[in-house]
Amino acid sequence: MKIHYFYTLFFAFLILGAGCSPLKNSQYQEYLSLRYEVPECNQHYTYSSVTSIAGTAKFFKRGVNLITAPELENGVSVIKLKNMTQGDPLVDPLPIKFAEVAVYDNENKIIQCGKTDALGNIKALDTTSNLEIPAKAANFTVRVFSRMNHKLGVNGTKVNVAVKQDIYKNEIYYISAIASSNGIDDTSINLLAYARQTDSMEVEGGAFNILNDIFLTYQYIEANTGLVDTTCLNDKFDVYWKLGFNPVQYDSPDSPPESLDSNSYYDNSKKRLFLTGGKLGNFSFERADHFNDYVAIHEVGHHIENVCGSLLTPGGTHRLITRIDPRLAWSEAWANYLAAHIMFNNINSINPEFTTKMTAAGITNTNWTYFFAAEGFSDSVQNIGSGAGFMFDLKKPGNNPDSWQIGPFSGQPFDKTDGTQFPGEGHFREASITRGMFKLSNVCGAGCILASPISFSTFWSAMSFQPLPVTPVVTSLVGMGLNAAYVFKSSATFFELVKKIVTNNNVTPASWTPYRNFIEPVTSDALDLHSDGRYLISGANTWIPYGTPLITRTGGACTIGTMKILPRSDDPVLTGTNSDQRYSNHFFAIDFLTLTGLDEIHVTFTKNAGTDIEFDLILFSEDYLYYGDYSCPTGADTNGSCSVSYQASRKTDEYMVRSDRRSGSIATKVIRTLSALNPQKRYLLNIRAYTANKSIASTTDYTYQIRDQNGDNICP
Amino acid sequence: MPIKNKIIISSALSIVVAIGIIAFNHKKKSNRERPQRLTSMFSSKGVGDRIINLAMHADEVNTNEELAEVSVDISMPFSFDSSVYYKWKLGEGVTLIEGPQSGQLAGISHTQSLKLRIKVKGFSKQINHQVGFEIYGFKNGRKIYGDSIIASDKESTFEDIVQNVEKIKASQ
Repeated sequence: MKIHYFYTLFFAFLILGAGCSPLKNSQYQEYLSLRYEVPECNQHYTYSSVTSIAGTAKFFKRGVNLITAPELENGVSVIKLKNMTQGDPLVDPLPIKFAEVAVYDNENKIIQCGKTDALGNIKALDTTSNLEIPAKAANFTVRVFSRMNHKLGVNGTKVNVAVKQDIYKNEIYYISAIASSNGIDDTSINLLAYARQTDSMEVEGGAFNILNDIFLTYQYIEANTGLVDTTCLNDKFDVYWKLGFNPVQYDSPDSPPESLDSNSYYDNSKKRLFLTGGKLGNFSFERADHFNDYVAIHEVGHHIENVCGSLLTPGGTHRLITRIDPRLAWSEAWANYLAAHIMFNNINSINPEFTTKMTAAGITNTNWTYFFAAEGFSDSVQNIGSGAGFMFDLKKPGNNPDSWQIGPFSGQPFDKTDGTQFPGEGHFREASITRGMFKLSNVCGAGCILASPISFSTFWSAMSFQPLPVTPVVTSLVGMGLNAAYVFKSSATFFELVKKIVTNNNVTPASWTPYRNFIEPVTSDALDLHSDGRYLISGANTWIPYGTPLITRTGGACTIGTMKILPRSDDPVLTGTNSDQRYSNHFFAIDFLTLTGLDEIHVTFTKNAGTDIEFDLILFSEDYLYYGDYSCPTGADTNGSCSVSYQASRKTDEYMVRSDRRSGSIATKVIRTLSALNPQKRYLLNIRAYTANKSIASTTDYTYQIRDQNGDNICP
Repeated sequence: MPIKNKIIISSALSIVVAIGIIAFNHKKKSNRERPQRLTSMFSSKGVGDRIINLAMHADEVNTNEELAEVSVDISMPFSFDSSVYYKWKLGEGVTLIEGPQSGQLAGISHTQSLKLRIKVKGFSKQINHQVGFEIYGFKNGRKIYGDSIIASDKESTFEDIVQNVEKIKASQ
C-alpha cells in the first residue's frame, strides 16, 4: 500500500514536471544550442574539363485583390480603390535576383558556387559567366539560397542579407533541384519557390519575396543618392521569418501564444528584423507579412535609419489616429514613406499585375500610392476567403483622408489634420508626415506635387548622418542621423533640413516657395515650418518646434521674440491616456556644454486669455519615455490594457531628472541643481500645461519667459 | 521512505517551484505601462484596446471526420452595456457544422462570463488547424476589442517550441 502510494506520487510529479524537465523534451534539444549560419558559398572551383549548368530560379508570391467603389469627384462619379486584400499567387513567377547558388556532388560536397543574375538566370559568381561543373556523368544538386551578398554600382554598396528560419538553428531557406549531367552536354534546370502551401509546405516563396523586397530597396537607394556614400548598408542584415509563426513569441516566451498579436518588428539593438509568418500555424486569417511588401519594406526602413542615420524612437503603440510623440511619429513615417516610395517606383518588380488590375477595375491613376497591410488571404483554388487588410491613399489631402477599414478603429480617419485650427499638428502625426513626404517627392497625379518633386537623395541627406549637400559647404550642416547633433528628432527638424538643401542653405530662399505652398494650405498635412514664419503672430512665437536648442543667455529680450504656449484639451480620440504634445507641451534641447554654468531654470507664465492653467517644468534624459499624465489605477495588464478608467496623474518618473510639478496657482516654476547633471549628456526641457481631464477654452494663451539663476533670459 | 526516493521527489518539487518563480517574475516584469521593447511594431490593433478577455477551448479529437466543439469564454473587467459584435474565423480545412459564424450580443456583464459554442469538422490532432474568434464593441468614444485563436495541435507549432526552449534555457 505504502509502495503504491509512493509510485502514484512519483508519477504525479513526473507528469507535472513534463513541461519543465529537459529530460522529457528531446524534441527541443536541436534548438537548445545556437548553431552558426552555413558559410557563404563564394569560391570559384576550377576544373580541367567542364560542362555548365544553366537555368532559372524564380519565386511565386501572392498578389492583391482590389476592392473598389464609386466616389464623387468634382460632381462626377469615378471608381476609387477603397481597400486591398491578399489574393491568388501571381500568374508568372518573379526572378530570384542575385541570390547565392551552391552546387553539390552526390556526397553533399560543394563543387561550385554561383549566383543568379537580375533575371534569375543561374550563373557563375560574376553573374555573367556560365556556372561550370566538372565534366562527368553524375547527378548534381543545385541549391539557391535566400541569401545574397551582392555589390551594387560602383560606390561599394552591398546587399548583404540572409532570410533565416529561426534564431536557434540559423538555417537559410533554399530551393533545390537535381541536375543530371552526362558529362558532355550542358544541363538546364528550373527552380521554383512556391506561394501556396499546397505546392510547398514551407512556402519558400515568402523567403524569396522578402529577399526581393530588400534587394529592390537597397538598389533604389544606391541608384538614387548620387555620390553619397551608402556603404552604411553593407553590414550583414539578418531577417527571421517562419511560416505560421509569430516572432513576438521570441520576445515574450512566457506569454500564451493565443494572447499575442501576430506582428513584425525590428530589433534595433541587435539590428535584426523579425517578420511574422502568422500564428500557431495559421496564416490564412492571421496577419503574416511574407507577401506583405509594404510592411516588409517599412520594417527594413527602420533598419536603414538605424544603420545610416539614428533610430531614436521611443517605440510604443501608434494607431494613426491621434497626435503622438514626435520621435515616434517621425521614425514610423520615415519607414512608411520609404515603403510607399519604393513600391511606387518599383511596382513592376514587386507586383507586375497591380497596374493591369487597376486598369481593369476602371481606376485612372494606376500608380501605387498606398499605405497597405494585408491580414490573411483569399485563394480561389484553395477556396479560402479570409483576406482582409487596411490601406490609405497617400495622395489624399490631410483634411479628408481615408479611414480605417478593419479592426478596432474602423471608420476613424487616418490622422486627419486641421491645418487652420492646428497648424503644425502634422509633425505629431505619422500618417501626415508620410503623406507629406510622399506627395512632395513623387509626381503621382492629383494630390501630389505637379512638377519638380523633391529628390529622394535630398530626403536621404536630411535623414542620414552625412553632411548636407549645400554649396558652399557648411561643416555644421549635417543630416539629422548624426546622433550627437540631433538627440531629439522630429519631422519638423527633417523638413527644415530639406529646406536648407533645397535653398542651398538659404542662398536661394525662393526655391522653397513651391514646396511651402504645397505643405501649408488647409488641404495639406499641416506640416508648417517655423522658419517660414507660420507660428509668428504679432511678434510672438505661438509654437517652438520640438527639440529646438536653447543656445544663448542675455540680459535683454530674446531675438526670436516672445514665446507663447496655447494649451488645448487633450485629444478627444484618446482622452484618458494622452497629454497633447503639440499644444500643451513645448520641448527645448539643452546642452550644458553650450549653456555653461547653468544651474537653475526659472519659467514664468503670464496669462493672456482663456482658461486658468497650471504649468510644470520637467527635464528629461536623452532616452526618455513620455507619459501623458494619466495612469491606470489598477496597473495595466500584460497586454497593456487598463481594466478600469484611466485617472489623471501628475507623477514623476525615472526619465525626469529634474522637475517642478507642484500643484496650485504658481506663476514661476523652477528646476535647480542642474550643474550636478552630467554635462556630456543632452537633456530636454519640457514646459507642460497640466491638462489631464480638464476642459480648456480654445482661446487659451499664455506667454512664458525662460530665465537662469541670474535672471538672464535663456533663448533659442 | 528511502532517502533516494525523497531526493527524487524533492528534486521534482524544486523544478516545479523554480519554474513557477521564473514564470511569475517574467510576468511581473512585463506588467508595465510602457513599451516593452524599443522596436517598431506594425499592427491594425492597438494593444490598449484588447480588453475583452477570451479563453478558447476545444474538444480533442483525433480525426478530421469527427465533430469537435469549440467554445469561448468571454469576460470583461467591467460591465459593458452596449452591443458587441463577434465573428468566428475558420482556418483552412475547418468547416462549420453547427452554430452561427457571427453575431451580436447586447452587452457583457463583468460579474458573469459568457460562453459561445460552435461545432466544426476538420479540427483534430491529425493535422494542426486553427479556429479564431474576434469580438469588439464601441461606446462613449471607447472601443473595446478581443481576439484569440486556438490550434488543434499546439504542440506541433513553433510557438510551442520557443516557449519550451526558452523555459529550458531559463532553468539551466
